[in-house]
Amino acid sequence: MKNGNGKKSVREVMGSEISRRDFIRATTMGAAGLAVGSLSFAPFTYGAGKPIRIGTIQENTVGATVYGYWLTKAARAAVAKLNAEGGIAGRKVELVEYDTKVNPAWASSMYKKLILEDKVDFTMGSVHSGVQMAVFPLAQQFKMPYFGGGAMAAGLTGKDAVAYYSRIHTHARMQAAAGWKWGFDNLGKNWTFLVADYAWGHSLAEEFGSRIRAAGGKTQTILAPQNTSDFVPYLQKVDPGTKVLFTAFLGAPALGVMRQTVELGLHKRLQRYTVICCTDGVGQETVGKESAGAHYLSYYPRHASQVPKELQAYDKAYRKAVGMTDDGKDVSDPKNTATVSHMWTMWTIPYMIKQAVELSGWKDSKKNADFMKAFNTLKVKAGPWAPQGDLMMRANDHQGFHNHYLEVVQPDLSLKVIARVAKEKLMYDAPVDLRSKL
Amino acid sequence: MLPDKWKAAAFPLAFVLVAAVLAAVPFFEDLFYQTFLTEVLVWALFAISFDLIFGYVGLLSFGQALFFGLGGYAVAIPTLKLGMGTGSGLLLSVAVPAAFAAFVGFFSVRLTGIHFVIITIIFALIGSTVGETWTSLTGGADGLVFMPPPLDLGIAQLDLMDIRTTYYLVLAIVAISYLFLRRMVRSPLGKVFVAIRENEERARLIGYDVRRYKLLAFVIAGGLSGLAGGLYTLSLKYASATFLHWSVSGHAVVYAIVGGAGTLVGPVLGAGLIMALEHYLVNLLQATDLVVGAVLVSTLLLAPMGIVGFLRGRRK
Repeated sequence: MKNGNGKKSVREVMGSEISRRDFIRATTMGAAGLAVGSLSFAPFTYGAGKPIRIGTIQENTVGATVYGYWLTKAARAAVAKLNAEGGIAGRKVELVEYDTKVNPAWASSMYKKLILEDKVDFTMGSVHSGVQMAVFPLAQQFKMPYFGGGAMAAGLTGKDAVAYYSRIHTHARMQAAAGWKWGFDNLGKNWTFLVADYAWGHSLAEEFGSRIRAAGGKTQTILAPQNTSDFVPYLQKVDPGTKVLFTAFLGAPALGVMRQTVELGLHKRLQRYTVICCTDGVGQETVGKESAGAHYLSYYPRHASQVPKELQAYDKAYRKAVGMTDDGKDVSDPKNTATVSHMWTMWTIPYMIKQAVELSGWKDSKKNADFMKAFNTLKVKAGPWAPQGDLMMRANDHQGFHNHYLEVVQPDLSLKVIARVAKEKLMYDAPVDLRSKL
Repeated sequence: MLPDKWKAAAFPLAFVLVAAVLAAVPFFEDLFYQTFLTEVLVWALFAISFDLIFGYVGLLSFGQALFFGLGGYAVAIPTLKLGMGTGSGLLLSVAVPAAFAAFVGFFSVRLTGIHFVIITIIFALIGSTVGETWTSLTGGADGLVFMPPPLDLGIAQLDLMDIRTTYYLVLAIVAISYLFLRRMVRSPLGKVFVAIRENEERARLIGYDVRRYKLLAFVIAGGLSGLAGGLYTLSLKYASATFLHWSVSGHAVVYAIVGGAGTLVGPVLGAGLIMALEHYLVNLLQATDLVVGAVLVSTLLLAPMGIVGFLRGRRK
């Protein structure tokens, strides 16, 4: 049988007509099969409560993807461990993940989706200050606890702080507090800052520079666009008396500036210093032999051998759980270097959520204010959940304090810890008091 | 064929029907869809402002992001730093970008084709560079967070921290802007725009000051892009230098091309379709841009005049 247009009918192609009974039988069997099949994946429950959902936003595409990859990996590993240990308050923990595309506007949309559609209970993630700022109004409006993943703008727990945001890790001001004195005493008193011409670069130059000047040192600041490829015109401006060249760029320019200082021979007459944010997630072999001798301020030693002895057992278990080798590489891909100094936040935060839930008696969003109060008074002891060492939250500005490290690139391109800065030395006056705003 | 009086009634009826459905949304849908539709409406406004300059005058401007971002700052900065009201901010979100559009347009509309495209990109790049480096004013790439004060309408105050109120405000402004643009493109002025698009030389020969008309369209489109940016910033409570980047103009380009440039309704449709597609796709894959790119390429190959152009072609 053919249609008017000469084409075969569906029935002709199928060979036989499907009766209503056949249809019902087939669909019922199919539905039953799907239901049975889904049983093996059905979420198990530890108690009567529904799962606790943690929403994450990370930089998974467009840019800074190495951060997204590793922070997500750490978050997943932490949630798996939490569930294996009985969840939070007897409830299973689920992770809901979205990409920020390194785009504050898109991230804001995804954050709304997490709160209003996915109905998550807590949120965390992103290393991008702009992304975090963009979701602040939503966190505040919906009283949604939000924990930063690695953004370094000091203002996030300072002038721009909101009551439902907490940051457990360092930022530009704390980095300066941790790194300026050591550099001033050991590298030199005349500094040049060659930094990216935007908020982060300005912030580092100002935070380090003001301390250097107050201690009687000299500073010069040179601003270059973040996407600079040829640094020669900028490096030529470096004051001849400079003893320390502090650089701050992300991605390829961070590697470029390191190489070009060597090409111009500057590395022979001055010390190079930067924060690990510039090359976290980038293997030193990629940076090149030109990086040998450079100093980094880091927040977690890249190599297991450099981790303080008392933390090594915790570090070993942590590296295994997140799939990271002793040299800070991906277990399944030795070319993929981990963002070791940043990713631990996503490992520790889920545990801190668990602690704060148990302390505050949190059951649902009605007690979010109590939850935030509990979270921001936590003192986490070094252990399986805190391989980076003791961590202390400050209730005033919702800022966490932890140890920092000075690392120097060896001739074999490994990073060797040469000093540890205790968290107690990083304390500064809280710029805001959020305690009455919860 | 429909009688002429029915044709004349078709648009008002369709417009009222769509507006009524959108006005009813908050009674049936939860907060998420209200915020989602707010975003769709804002981007639809941005897309129709681009459609005026691209679809009706034939100028492919990648500089609209500059006006969009400026509109955002025109709301955020006076509110945050000068304590001004939201109403003044919204007025500034039209006035400031329109003034900048007059400046940019003064130089740009002298050029045509690829040269026009490039100069608009350059102006947007200058804007985003200034925005990213003048951090004390703009907050740079980190942006500015602000809490908009209630919008004082004289008879009532609108609380813009309330999602439903913001939705209705945006719906009303976008609807009025749409009607304004529709009236304009159907007026003699709109016919001149189309004449310029179709044959600039001929329009000049019959006596129109082409450069002046192009500048006028550029300024109006700039003002409306700024309004879209202002509304977006109000809905996010956040303004950023990233909104000034020329690539933000790409949203309007994609929505207009997919929906159908030179139709006004097409870019609205394009914005709705693409954003809905992204919303549902994001649950399945992260690289939603790949699918949007595929949709754009397919549209260009299969329906170069966009969805509305394709449907109109079939009807004819």
